[in-house]
Amino acid sequence: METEVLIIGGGATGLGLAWDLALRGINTVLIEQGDFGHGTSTRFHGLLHSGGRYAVKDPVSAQECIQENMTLKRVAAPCIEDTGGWFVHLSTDDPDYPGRWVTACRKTGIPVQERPVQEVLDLVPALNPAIDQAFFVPDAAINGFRLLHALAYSARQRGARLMTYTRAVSLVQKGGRVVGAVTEDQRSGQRQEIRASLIVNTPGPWAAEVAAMAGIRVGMRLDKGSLLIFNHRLSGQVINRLRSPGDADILVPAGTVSILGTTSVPVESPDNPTPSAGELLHMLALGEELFPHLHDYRVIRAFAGVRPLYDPAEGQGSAGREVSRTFSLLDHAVRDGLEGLVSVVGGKLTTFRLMAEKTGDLVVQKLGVGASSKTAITPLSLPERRPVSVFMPVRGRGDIKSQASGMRDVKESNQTYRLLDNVICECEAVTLGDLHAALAEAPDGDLNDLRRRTRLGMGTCQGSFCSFRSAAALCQSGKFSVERANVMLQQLVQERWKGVRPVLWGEQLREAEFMQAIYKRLLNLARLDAGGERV
Amino acid sequence: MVGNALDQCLKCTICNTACPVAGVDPSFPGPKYAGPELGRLIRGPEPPADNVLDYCSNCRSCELACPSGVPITSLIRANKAAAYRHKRMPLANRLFARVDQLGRVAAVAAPLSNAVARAWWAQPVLARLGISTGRPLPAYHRQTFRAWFSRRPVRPAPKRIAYFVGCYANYNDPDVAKATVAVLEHNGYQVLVPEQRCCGLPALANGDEDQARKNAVFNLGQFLPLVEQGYEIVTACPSCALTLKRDYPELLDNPEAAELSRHVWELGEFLRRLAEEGELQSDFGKVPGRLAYHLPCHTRSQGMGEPWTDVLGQVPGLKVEALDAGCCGLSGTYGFKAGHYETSMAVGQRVFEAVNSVRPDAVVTECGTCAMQINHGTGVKVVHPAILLREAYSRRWPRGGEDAIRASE
Repeated sequence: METEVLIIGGGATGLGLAWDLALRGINTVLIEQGDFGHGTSTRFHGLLHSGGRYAVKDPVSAQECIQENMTLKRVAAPCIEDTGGWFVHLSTDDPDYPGRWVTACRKTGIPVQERPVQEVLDLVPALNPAIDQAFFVPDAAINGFRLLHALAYSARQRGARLMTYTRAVSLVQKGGRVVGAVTEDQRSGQRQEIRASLIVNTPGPWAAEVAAMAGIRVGMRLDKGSLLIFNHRLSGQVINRLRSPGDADILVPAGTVSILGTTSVPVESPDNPTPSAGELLHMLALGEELFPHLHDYRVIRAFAGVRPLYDPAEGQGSAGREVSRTFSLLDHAVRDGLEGLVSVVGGKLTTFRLMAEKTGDLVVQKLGVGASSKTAITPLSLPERRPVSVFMPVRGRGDIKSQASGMRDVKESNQTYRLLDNVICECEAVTLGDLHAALAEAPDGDLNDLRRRTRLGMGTCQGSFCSFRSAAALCQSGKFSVERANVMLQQLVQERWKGVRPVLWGEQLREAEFMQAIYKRLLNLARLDAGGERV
Repeated sequence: MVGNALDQCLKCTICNTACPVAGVDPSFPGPKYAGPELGRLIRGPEPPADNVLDYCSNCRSCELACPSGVPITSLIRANKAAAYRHKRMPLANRLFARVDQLGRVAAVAAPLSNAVARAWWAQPVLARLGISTGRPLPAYHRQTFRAWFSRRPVRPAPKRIAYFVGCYANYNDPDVAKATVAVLEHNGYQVLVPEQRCCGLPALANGDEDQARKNAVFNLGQFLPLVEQGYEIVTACPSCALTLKRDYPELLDNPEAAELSRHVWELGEFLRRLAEEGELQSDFGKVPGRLAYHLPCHTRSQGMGEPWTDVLGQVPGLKVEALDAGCCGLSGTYGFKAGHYETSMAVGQRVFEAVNSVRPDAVVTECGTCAMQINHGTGVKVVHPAILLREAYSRRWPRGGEDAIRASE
């Protein structure tokens, strides 16, 4: 396979770049070792920063955030819920901080309005009434999964070739420059060589590993952040604790749930970050300072992500939250004398588009093409959702009754048909039609791929019911063999269990027992016929 | 309340299997969806735009089935109230949320209002209002119970009861209220009927939380001072009892409502306690008859067993057989709404069949609307247990007493 640009890593940066280059008319291939956002891009709060968090310590990041915040609200509107956010100050926190913070926000162009404390208390009754100052900022909630799929869909519409579950195993060098990569399909094991004029290294926390394939050292500091998911929206707006940034001081309404985070713990490996019990209890204790009854609310899941912080000083400088959140574009021709390879490190989801734009600028300069970035003015598109047409005639007069039950009556040539679009996942209102639409986007997808595209199994019961329902429905529709459906079922249940295990207390412990009763005792999940495959 | 309640559901779905409406209408996704699930979804960025909330009849069967103690019906009502904050409430809901205002108007105009409600030309008007023309509307009495009671001389007695009459007994079946007074007086209580409004349940069930709260505040103001003077509150309507006991503390969320709720008794519950303490007058005369007892959902959900079965068991000659056939389907104002008539009758089918197979002399039930539904569905006479008790007492009373009771009617 040959292309102008090969992007390694399908997170927000990589997909953002694919979209940017596709709009510039450049031939692009992207490979991603897992599903889109396998790494950090889906393992965050879901916060579209206003920049307020960085205003005091990291004004460059803050400025980038507020610019991108406004741009993305225009071009990625279907992926963003413009909730607005609050910075609330607890009377027990540093009394001088709000003053410094407001000044810093003004300087970096972040619009801040001080509002009466009662206003935020009325909107968010769960908040600690002991707050003494409240500021409104243009924070928003961004759906990471949806953003990646919108980027992928839009880039593909413009001709980009995107391959998931494809990993780079080595970089091919010729005459002192990188000319391609050998890739491996993670499912079939099949290898191929992709030749490219330029390779862009955007795998987030794996950037050092990929650079090492070309014999180049990239200093990274991997920093784990853990997060807790609460069963429902404790707040309709983003809540930030107004103090010098620390652990567990952000709560974001993310769809039907709320996410509290984070922590900051150095880790060695980017693979499989897991939240520790200690981190979670520490976060709950801190969270209680902001939400006094936090322990009474149901935690349905915990997860962790790895921040790919760039550390040019290689461990000699500052750590964790002290490292700048701005990004760095490394042209290895300039830096290391190796042509054909560019790395993008650092940054954050809010600024992914800017990272992609700057990288795109470097790419066209290197390729000698004169095309400017259009991502700031071109809205992203999402596939339209089509209901499944399982028709059955209805006797008598049809009647539009309920969307939730998935039944809609459609009149066609003197006969009324009932359109069945059954709800598969009740907690997140995902229908069979949603699953089929997701399957059209990811034809080789397993249930976890469909989950990331639909929110299947991401609600209260964490897949207790929709796992077997979705496997059965897709098997019944002829999309999968029984064996494949069984394997996918095992994978989905296992994956859900992974995030539930760290939070086994209260209602979720009862839910887990219930889930085990369904899958281990009733369905004998471990022994389902997987056709020889092992999970 | 709602916040934590949203977190208790394990999604086990047993509530859906207990729901009488979901049992007969597959287009209702059930209480699990309409309550805890919708509660999460409507707070989210893409609230579903469906109208499933009107399916709930507020019978509370789901809550009895729930092993996790989720206040499902309360969640459904909260979702309903939230929905009507954004869209116009149907006219029928607004009408039924104000049954006592309706009652006041209809009572003044009775019996003309009753004739109008039955007239052929009124039916299309009712239909336009969203009221079902499939069943007769309850008839109104020109003299309400409270009007009758206020003209009656006070009968002093050592022990005191504050009587919460309820709209049905006041406007539609004053004899039940008169029988309640007679039974309580016969047991040595002086009955006080304070100024009062509808308990608020119809407003709650129809999604008008504000109206319900107004009624609750008014009634609390009238009854709480009496509780502080040592009065107990008795009502012969199981739905009013449930509302005062359970919904006022939820709705008002204050210690006063909680205090009030501890002193509210459904009449059968009250008499059963008297019997347990050996204080129930047991001078019953013989009342021969074979009756079938229907347990109203709202008695069931008070978690107090079947007090009337226990009390009626003491009346000599009376044979009472339990129907044990579930919800009657009317559920307050639910079955009176257009579009709900068929559902309501389908739910009641099991009760009707049970009545038809028992073939009793009459059905006995303490709920006024259950009585209307069972009578409509079977044609069998339905009596309130207080009337049976009054009858039993009157057969033993010395002549003077019997005259007194006759004079009271």
